[in-house]
Amino acid sequence: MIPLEIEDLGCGRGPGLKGTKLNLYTLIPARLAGNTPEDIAERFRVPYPDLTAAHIELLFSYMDDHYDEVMAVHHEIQARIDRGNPPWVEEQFRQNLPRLLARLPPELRARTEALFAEPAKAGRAAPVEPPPLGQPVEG
Amino acid sequence: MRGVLPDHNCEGHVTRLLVAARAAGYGDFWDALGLAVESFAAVGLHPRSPDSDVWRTCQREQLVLVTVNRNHRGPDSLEAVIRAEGVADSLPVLTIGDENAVIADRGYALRAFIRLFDYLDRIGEHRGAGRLYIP
Repeated sequence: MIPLEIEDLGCGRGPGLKGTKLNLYTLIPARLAGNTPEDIAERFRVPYPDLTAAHIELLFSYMDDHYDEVMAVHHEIQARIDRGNPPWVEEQFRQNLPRLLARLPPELRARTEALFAEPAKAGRAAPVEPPPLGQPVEG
Repeated sequence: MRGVLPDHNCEGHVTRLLVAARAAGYGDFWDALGLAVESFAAVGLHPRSPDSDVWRTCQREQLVLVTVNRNHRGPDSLEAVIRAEGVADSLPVLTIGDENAVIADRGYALRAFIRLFDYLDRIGEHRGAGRLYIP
């Protein structure tokens, strides 16, 4: 069983569930996107079959209690992810995509091409704008 | 390189990516890579093994680590291990940039699969790159 306790998980993970490697910062985007604690628990039941909504609510309660501090780190992490890959990595992918598509059967090739057709869809979705600091998010 | 190792937290996410890809018709495409998808248990790692141990195991076992973790920088962070011990032919760490979208957005999941495939297919060009994102 996973105890209903929070600890610093080390390795830069920050606060998370004791006995796991599940940290709060990994869950914040899902919360900001409006997922319920049960939704979020469900997606991590592999590898944590005992994870419950109560564990997620505990982490979100910690987030609400330390909102400014947590969101400051969240913004820093998100900014790093938004900077993404070095330009050469993205350029190589763009150059290689036609060769990769050519290896697919025609119908699958067309569907895959469509997945990358719109520039906005070539990367991740736009980051969700978090609520103003000091405004706990409804869980 | 002989395969990928999902970080313990994202075993479910990598499984979902691959299941979504198979359902969309990419099964043969993926299988042609001939790569194993390992687990912490299979390579002798404890679920809470520190990132330094996980990274070293991946290099020794020639596995590409896939993560969804959002970590702060720190002296014992994965980022620090990559910087301290990474060399020109080290395998990269692949970080899925949007954990939520893997679950909520099928289009994102399939694009993420294609990016994962491309990184692995051209792994020689990505060795030594440190951490790469699946955007």
